[in-house]
Amino acid sequence: MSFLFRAFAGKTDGDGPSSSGADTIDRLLHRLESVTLVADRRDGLRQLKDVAKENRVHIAAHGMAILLQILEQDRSDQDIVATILDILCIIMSDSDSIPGRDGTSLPDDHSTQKLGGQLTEIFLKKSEHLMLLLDFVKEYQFQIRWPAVRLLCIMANSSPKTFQNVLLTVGGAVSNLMDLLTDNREIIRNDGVLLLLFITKNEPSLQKIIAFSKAFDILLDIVRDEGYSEGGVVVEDCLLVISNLLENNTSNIKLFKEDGCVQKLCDWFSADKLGTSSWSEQRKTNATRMLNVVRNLVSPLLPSPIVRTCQDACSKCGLVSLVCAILMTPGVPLNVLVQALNTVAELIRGNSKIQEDFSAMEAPLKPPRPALAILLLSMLNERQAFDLRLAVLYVLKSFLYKNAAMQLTILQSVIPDTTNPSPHTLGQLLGGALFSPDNLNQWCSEIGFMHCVVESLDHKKMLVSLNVMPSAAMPSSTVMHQCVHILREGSSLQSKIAALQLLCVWLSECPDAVEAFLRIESIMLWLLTQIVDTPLESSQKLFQGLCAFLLGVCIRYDRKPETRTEMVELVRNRVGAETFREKIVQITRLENFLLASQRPDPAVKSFADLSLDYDFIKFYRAAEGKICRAIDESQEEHMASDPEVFNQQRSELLSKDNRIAELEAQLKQAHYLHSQSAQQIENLSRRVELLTSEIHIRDQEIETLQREKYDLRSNTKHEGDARLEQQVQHLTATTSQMQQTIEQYQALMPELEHLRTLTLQQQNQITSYYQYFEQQKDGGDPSSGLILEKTELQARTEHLDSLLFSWQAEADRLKDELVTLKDQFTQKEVTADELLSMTRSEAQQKTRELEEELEQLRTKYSDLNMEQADLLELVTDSDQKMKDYRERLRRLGEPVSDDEA
Amino acid sequence: MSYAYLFKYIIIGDTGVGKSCLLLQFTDKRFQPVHDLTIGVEFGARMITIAGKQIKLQIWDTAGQESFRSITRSYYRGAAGALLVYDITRRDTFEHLTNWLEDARQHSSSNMVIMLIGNKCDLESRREVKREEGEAFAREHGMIFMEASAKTAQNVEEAFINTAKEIYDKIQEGVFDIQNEANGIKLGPEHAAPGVGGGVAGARGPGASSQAGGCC
Repeated sequence: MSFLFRAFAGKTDGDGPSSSGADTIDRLLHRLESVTLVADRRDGLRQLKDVAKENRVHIAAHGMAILLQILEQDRSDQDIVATILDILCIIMSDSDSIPGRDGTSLPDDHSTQKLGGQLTEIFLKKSEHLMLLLDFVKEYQFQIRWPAVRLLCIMANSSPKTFQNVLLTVGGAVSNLMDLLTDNREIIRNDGVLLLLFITKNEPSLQKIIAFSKAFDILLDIVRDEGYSEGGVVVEDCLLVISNLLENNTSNIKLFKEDGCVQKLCDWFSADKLGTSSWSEQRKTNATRMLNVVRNLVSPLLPSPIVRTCQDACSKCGLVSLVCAILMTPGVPLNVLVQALNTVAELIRGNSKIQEDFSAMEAPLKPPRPALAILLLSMLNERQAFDLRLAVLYVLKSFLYKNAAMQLTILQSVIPDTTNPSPHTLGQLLGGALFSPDNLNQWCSEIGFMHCVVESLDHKKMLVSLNVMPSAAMPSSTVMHQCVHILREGSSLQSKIAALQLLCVWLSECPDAVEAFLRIESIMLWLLTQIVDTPLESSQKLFQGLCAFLLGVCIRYDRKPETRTEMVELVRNRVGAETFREKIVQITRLENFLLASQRPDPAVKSFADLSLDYDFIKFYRAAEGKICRAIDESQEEHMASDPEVFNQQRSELLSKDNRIAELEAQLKQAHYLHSQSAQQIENLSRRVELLTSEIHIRDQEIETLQREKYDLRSNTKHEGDARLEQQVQHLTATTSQMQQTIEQYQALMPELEHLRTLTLQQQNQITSYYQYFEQQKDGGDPSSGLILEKTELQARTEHLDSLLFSWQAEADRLKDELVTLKDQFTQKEVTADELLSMTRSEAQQKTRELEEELEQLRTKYSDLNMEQADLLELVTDSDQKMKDYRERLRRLGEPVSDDEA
Repeated sequence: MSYAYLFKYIIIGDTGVGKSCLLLQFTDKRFQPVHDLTIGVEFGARMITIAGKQIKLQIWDTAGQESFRSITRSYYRGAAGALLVYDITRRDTFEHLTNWLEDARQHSSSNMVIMLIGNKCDLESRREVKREEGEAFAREHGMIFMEASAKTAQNVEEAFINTAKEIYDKIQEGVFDIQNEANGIKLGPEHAAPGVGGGVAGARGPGASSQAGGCC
């Protein structure tokens, strides 16, 4: 660890503090390391703290290890712990004060700002360090708990990603931090909130754990206890944490809703809290953040089922009406009002029930008038702020989104009702704005009309014939003429771009509108001229791309083959098919396009930044391919307008109907096939999975068998060896025994020999005695003694003879035994060998079998893989087929949406 | 919607045993054969009725993969019930139960009710873990046991509801301290409302009635 910090040592030499300062530090550190008395350490640390600020780098490089060591070893000494935590705060912090909430800690120069982050990174390399600090967070003592929290804040702010990752690996860390929020010392609680703010940014896992730990309840309570929007900065921090927890986190949004927190939001906006009391800066910020929390729940970027349930929940508990009421409350500051408008827009977007409630809302005027009309008046009022006007447009767009009834009502009210001259219907306001000299009014009107027709062919047809009478002094004109007028004569590029967006959407799939458009004098040539040159500026590129797109729409949806051929020829000759397509496609590569496609709410600063509408981009993406192909296609579909061919057309239509039915059936069949093959693929993949796991199991089995085999082999060998050894031992024992006997026997031999010679001698003697006796017999009596002697000798000889015999027998027996034992030994040796070779061959056989089986499974698996690939091909084929059918259906005029598959 | 109690559950077990599918079947009554791997944790909720009382279940479905283990551990504390799931067609998932149980016992409050679920019991032909083994394991470790199928919905309701019953019984017996939310139990607004003035009195309500029940 210390060597890591020492990497900074190099820096100290260059831009570090005076060398005398470094000397002091070195001396202090040395003392801290060597002293044994706690009091001395305390003293040393206090001195170190005093000079820490000027010597951050030096202490970090040379003293970190010592400090951490003392922190660990003297952890029970409050003074020491508090001082070290203070020192660490000073070293890690890049600014004088605690980091700001917005993450912009005020740095004096860039290098020192990064230093804190680098030190944090090194510090966090060991999660034990963080665990140590978390232990101090648990301490109740203020002088320990507070600096510990502050230190965590500093680190979490300077190096959020690392901090979050380490925090996730430390078990129980979050509940530890959550306890800070219930500390009754405000300063600790507030820093706890701040810490949550840093660690909840873009980290869904931590967000979920924190929400699980009841963060919503606790934070909402703090907001309430601090006086809602009139509370201080801690309210803002709490609101930011709540927003962090909810942002793009559907799991947490569900929990928020399930825990009944939506209901609690009503308290934030209830009338008595929005009264006329003064709006401080903090209060404005708090109110904006509160509305942002609501927006987090219903953001259009979330999956629509979630948005729907949240919208319904907000509507049910009255939150929608409360937020709408802000719009009608006098004295609300502009930025709060803009945020409230954006919130209302997202609360009503695409939800017919809430849209209906909203249209019925009335402004508190005498006589009461529809709130929406009042809002539109502000939108079209040049004196209103740009942000506000765009926010109203966002409300209007959200109000019209998926709301065919309201779209129709607006279109119908464009023409003033002579029987009921109510001033300024929505349609009249929108129509009139098209003729306004104000560019933003034109923009809003064009985009407004676009949202009235984008989803419906009937509405497109209806708009073709709409005549607007802007004022008594001006001649009436159709919406289309006015659009073209703006397009040709308009003073701002933005309103031209809006006009093009309206026309593209309007003319698309509506031959009536195309016809009306092409009737306008020389409009074709005008469009063509716009796309001939190659502009450099990106807004010009956008304009040109949209002109090309509009031309493409005309070609694609013109019902007259003559003009169509003419247009195609013109484009091919003047521009070239490839260039034409490129001009259409290039729009998608523009920065404007990317920015506008990210979110539906207005995020532009000024009129000049206005470019593309979010819903236009959705339309454009869906239509682009078709329009690009338009100039390649031969005229296959056209409709004659002669009345005499009516019957022919009718029969054609009928046959087309039939074909459509047929195609539909085919499509259904393809669907069926598709689903079947999907099923099959699923089954197969499941089987593959099964087989893979089986193979795996087999692999394991083989492994175990091999291991067993090995064990077996070594075992048999072992066993055989042991047996042999035993036998050998036995044999050696017998042999040595025999040797002994033999030796004994051999030792007896000379005695025997001696006895034999003795016997022989005696026999000789006896014979000589005999002879003597015989002689004596002949001659005398002394034979009696001799006879006695002779019998005696005879008995002795006999005894010796028997003894000799028995010895010989014993020797023979021993010899025999030796031979049998030898035989036994060799026999046993042979059987052991046999046994060994047998087990070996057996194991080999088994391995071979298993290997074969494995091979079989492998081929089976690869077969299945091939089969699956074939099926995938089949599916792609059927997909392609379906696409073709869909295309054919579409060409036949049958509306088919792409997601029908 | 008002409720008498809110119970927090977690679902744990090896990856691929069907935790998310069990939750989806319970909350949405549908089965999704191909489910994305759960990243971290997902949340679901449903209302049930026990002994005539509305009980809200909040369920955290965790990721089974080893790499999410430390995240999962953060959810044990604060859960009243846990569904420990294994796959009857995969023996290894059964063998890892001991690890899961150790983890759960170590990080949760001691009163947490654990229900052992052998999932995918519709796949009888591929069974690798006998029903009796599951039962024995549950008995040995003091858990309730059920075999279920997220696909056919068999026993899914029962698994969640029986766990809730067990928790409810424990509340009636006074085992749980319902004032301490770290147990994963929260009193509903209908209990809490009179408790503003005297929280203790409000809380004693169910406890007192249970004592009466116990005497009978």
